[in-house]
Parts: sequence; structure tokens; C-alpha cells
Amino acid sequence: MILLSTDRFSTLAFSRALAPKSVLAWSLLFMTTSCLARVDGPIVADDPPVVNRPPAIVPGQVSPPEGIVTLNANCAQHQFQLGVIEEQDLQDRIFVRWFIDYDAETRPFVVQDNLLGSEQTDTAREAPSFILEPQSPRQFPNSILIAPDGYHRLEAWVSDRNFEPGDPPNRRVPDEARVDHAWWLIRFTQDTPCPDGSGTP
Amino acid sequence: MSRLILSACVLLTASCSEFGSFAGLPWMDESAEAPLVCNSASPCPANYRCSFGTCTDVMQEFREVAIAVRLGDQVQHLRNVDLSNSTQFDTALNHERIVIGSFATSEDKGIQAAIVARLEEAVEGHPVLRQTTTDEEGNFRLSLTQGAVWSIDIMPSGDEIPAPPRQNLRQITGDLVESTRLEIRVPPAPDYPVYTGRLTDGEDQAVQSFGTVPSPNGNEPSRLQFKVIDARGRHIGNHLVIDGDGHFSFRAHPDITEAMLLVRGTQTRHPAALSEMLELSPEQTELGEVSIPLESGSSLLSITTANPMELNSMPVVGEIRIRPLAAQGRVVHRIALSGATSTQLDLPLGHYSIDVLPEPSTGFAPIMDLETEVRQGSTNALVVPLAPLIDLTGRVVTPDGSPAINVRIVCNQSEMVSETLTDETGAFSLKVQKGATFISAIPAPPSPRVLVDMNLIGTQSLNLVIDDGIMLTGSLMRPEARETQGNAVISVLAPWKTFDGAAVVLGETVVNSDGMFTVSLPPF
Repeated sequence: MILLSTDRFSTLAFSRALAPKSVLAWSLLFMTTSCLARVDGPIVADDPPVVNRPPAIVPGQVSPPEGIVTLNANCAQHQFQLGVIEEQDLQDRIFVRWFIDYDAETRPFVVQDNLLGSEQTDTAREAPSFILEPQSPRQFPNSILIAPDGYHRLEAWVSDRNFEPGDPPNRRVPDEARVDHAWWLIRFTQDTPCPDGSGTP
Repeated sequence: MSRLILSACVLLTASCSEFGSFAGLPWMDESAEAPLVCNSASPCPANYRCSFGTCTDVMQEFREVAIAVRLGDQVQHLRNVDLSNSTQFDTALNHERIVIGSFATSEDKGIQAAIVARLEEAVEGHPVLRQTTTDEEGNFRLSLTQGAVWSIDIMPSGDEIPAPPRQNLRQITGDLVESTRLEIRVPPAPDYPVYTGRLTDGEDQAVQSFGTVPSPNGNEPSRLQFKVIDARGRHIGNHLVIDGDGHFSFRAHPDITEAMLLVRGTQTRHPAALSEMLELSPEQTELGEVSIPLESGSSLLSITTANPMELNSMPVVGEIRIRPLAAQGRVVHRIALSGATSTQLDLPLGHYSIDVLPEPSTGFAPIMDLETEVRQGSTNALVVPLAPLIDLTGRVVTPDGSPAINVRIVCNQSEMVSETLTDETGAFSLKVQKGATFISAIPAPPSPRVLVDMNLIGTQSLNLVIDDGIMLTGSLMRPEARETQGNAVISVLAPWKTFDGAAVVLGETVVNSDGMFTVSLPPF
């Protein structure tokens, strides 16, 4: 551009003299660019792939801590708390499902559903809790087993996509979903303490 | 007051134009004294402020909040947090102190027991408990918050020693170990007073049906349980003996001054009844004749659910709760509600309070406190007309009127908690039951919750407006005040506002890794 800005004649002369070469050069440049484009693709993608980051139950805040839990079978209620769920994708909704003694064929039922909204300002979200009722025929349709004759399993499944129909029933999630879960193996006895306000019914 | 009533009329008129008719408005069955529904779009009249969706007199004493901090299994409560001058709240967790102790007889014989420590000044409906069990030598270890008052209940595992009275532990200032360890001593087994008496039934006849309960399938008959409890339901008697003629005896700690006698079985066909409160004194161990409202004999009760509206053809499944009135709420039998057929129960004669709780997925509402009497003779029948759940719909908008998307809507009711999210138009829809209802609309931070306490009498549509609210910020430090405490869950509670016996949660948040937290509170 600077070369072409001297005066009109010199510009014309320069243009006429260089025109064929210039056209050739621009053509080569375009061809080269086109070839490169076909081989390497754009440097910055118009639609970069979205990486779905998983939700994570913060272990230190799960109450009681995951693992074997001994509970009094005669207490009316026991509370289980997930505490905090870390989710880096602030726009993700969180779906929580609670299961007792889940079996895909014989007992696939959801005992509680929780939904947490999206567009958070922080990655940590306060998680829902579950009230376990040993005497509830809905939670324990075949009544509870007292240790050491048997144990029960409580699970909380946390997904950043909605659960969908399919196998395993009530736990299937879309391929892009990321899931975390917490579990407790419950050992019912007759002699452990009862939480406040939930004595023998 | 006249301004209040005038405003009510204005609001009702406005609401009618919006909803189309008066039917189903929550306050229609209430008197003119009832609080007004309000939000930022429908503000309260002068001298009233909008609190939990109702107009409240501003002359009420300023309300302090309580803050619950939860770290895993440990919860600390900070009461009387006054936000009138500042919405900045910097605090440090209290020290958790180790309490080493032992539970033994005065002859140093260790006793195995379950131990529950309970924070005395916990916010209503949010108990703070620490639990443990002793080892074979009676030793235990607890972690208790410094400076607080804790009550300690001890429940011995075996039948040798009865439970001692509740004990208080005040103002711990340091770890209680070694020389300061907590020693709980009780008299040795032979030194407890033995209380005796005779149970009589409602007609002052000796209770004959105590010893055993016949088994319908010919198995060994099972014995009825005889328990001695205090006003809180704690088992405080041991060495329980009762014969077929109603003569009983039990032992209790000499400092226990009151007790009730509870008779119950494990199944619905077993009778259950509770005596009046008895005064206990080691100087007067003969309790004489104790009347217990127990009737002999049993009969069948048939519980059938009726679907007059033929809402759907799904079998109605769920739960039936049976409370013998004679047991004054101390005994609840929970059995499955079978679908399609009536539920047949062999029940002892007497009066009962019955709850029928269909699964919410059936579309039917719970029916509570059906009183019925099981009489001698033919089959007793209880037909329970089911009522469908009602629709609670609504829309949540931001202060500028735009739809609030993905707001978590939690609807708390007696025996039902339903939740959903608002859609892209801010709308939500739930199936709920009639009656007392507490609705929490929980938007993403930094917006505060919208809290509404109302009585639903029919299908209802709500317009909820997220107010600007109050932004409470602060920091949370570890007890040493050198390090911050991240990941704790902070709940701001309203001790002056309860629903279903628990203080309402105004807002919750998680403390950042740098110890800072921000929680939005609705205007209150």
C-alpha cells in the first residue's frame, strides 16, 4: 500500500508492470491458504467441543460418613446428608436420586428425588438430605433385617443430566452425563442411640 | 386495622381479576384478621412489612437470626445473631473439646451403654446431637462444643442397670481428659428400689391378657412388652416382670421421680396402652393398682379406599399408620396399603387414629387422623374416600419481571415434600395436598429465597417475585482463628418462624475455600 501511494503515473506504471505478477502472487497465496485450510482446519473452532465436568460429592461433608453405619432399628428416623456437591459447570442442573437396596430387576424404585437448579455463582452447592425411616413399609416393604442376619444399602446418585428411561432402570443417564454417588451399608441393631425426637414409635 | 382490611379487599379484587374467580384463594376461609399475602409487586400497607409472603407488624421486636454451621457430622449453632446494624458477620467456630469419660457403678464396674449428648440451646426443630457407645469397661469419648450446655442421656445396653436421669454438662472450657475426665457413677445393681403394683384394665379388673398374645399360625405365642418410660419416651426401668394376673415389678434409678407404664406388642394385633404418670419415690415402692386403658378381645377392621371420582385406575398403594389412642401416641404401627383390595386387620378392641398415605404417584392425597372404634362382634369397616391431590402452579419472576429459570421449588406439607424446577418461562407445577403449606422458592445465588407460609384449600396459582433481600456476607475461621474454614454448610435460621415444629431456613450457602461466604436472605 505504501508503494502505491506515490503519484498517479508511477502508480499506474507500477500497477501495469506488476499486475500479472501481483495476480499470480495473490492467487498463489489464496491457493496456499485454501490448501492449508483443508489440511489443518481453522485455528480457532467456531464451535469448540463442550467438556462436561462431573459433579462431585465432597467426602468430608457426607453425614454420616460413607461406609458401614450402625443404626437403631427402633428409632423413628435417621437423617443422611450429602452436604456439599461440587459442580464446575455452573449452568448444570443437578439430579439426585436415593435408592434403598437397589436391584435392577426386583427393586429398582426411587425412594426420593431431588433437583438442584442451575446458573450458580459458585461451584459448591448445598446438597439435599434423606430421612430414613426403619418402620416405613414404603422404604422397607419386606421389613428391616437386623444385623447380623442382614444389611441394607442406601445410595444417593448425583447426575448432571436428567435420568432417562432404560437400563439400569431409574439410573440410566444420557451418554454425556457425569455421575457421582454415595453409599451407606446400614447395619440395624436394637441398642444404638436414637436421634432426638425420634424415639421408639 | 381498617386500612389493613381495605388493603385486603384491594388485593382480593386484584387477585380475582388475575385468577378469574374467588374460588381457591388461600385466605378465603380465614377471618379478616388473617395476614395478607404480599410480595414486592403487592407491597404491604404502611406499618406492615412483607415477611414470608404475609404482612407483619413492623412494631414487632426486631428479629434475630440463628446460624447453623455444619461440618460433616458436627453442627454448631450460633443463636441471637443480630443483623440490625450490619450484614457483615465474621466468626470463628467454637472449639470442639474432647470429653473422655466412663460410666460405671460406684464399685467401679464398667457398664456398656449408648450415650447421646444433646445441645440444650439448639434451634427448635434442628437438634444438635453427638452420640457414642461405651466399651466393655464403660469408657467413652465424645466431642462437644466448648461453652455450650449439653445434656447427656445414658441408655445401658443390658438389663442389669436402669437408665440414670439426664445429666447436664455446662461450660466446658477445655478437653476433659485424665484428671478432669467425666466420671458417671450409679449405684450397683442390688441398690435400686424395686417398684411393684398391679395393672388393672379400664373396668378396674386385673389385666388377664398380659402374659402372652396368641399366635394365629399356631407358633409359640409371643409375650407383650412391658416398658417403663418417662415423659420424653426414654426407657427408665429394668428387671421388668409382669404375670398373667397383672402383678408387675421394675427397678428404676432412685433419682427418677416420674414414670409411665407402657404395654405394647410388635404387631397390630397386639394391644397397646399407656398409664397415667406415676410418682416414684424410693420410700414408697408399692404403687398399688395402676389403671391402664386396655380392653381384652379383638375384632377385624377392614380398611377400604374408595375412589369416588375414579381419578385413575391405578391400584392405590402406600402406607397405613395405626395409632391406638390408649397408647397416647407412643405406639405407631405402619403397614403397607395394598392396592385394589381392602386391608384386613385383626385389632384389639378400642379406639384408633388412622392415617392413610397413598403414594404421591397415585395422585391421591394423604388422609390423616381418621378416628375409628373397633368393637366386639362383626367386622368393623372403615371406608376411606380418597381425594385427589390438587394442583399448585405458579410463576417465579425476578424483581424486573423477567422469568426466573431453574428455581428450585420445595413444597413442605404434613407427610409430603414435593419439589420441582421452574421452566424457561419461570413457571412451575406441583401436585400437593390441601392444608398447611410452606413453599420455598430457591433461586441460584445471589438471589434470596421466596418463602410463603399458607393454607391451601384448593387448586392454587401463585405469582412469586424474588425480592432484593439482604446480602449477608462474612468469614468463617477455624477455632484457632489462624486458618479459614472452607466447605462448611451455613444455614441461616429464623427461630421466630417455625413450620411443622422446625425453625424455617432463610438461606443456605457453602463457605468458600478462603473462608468467605455470602448468603442472600429474603426480607424479614
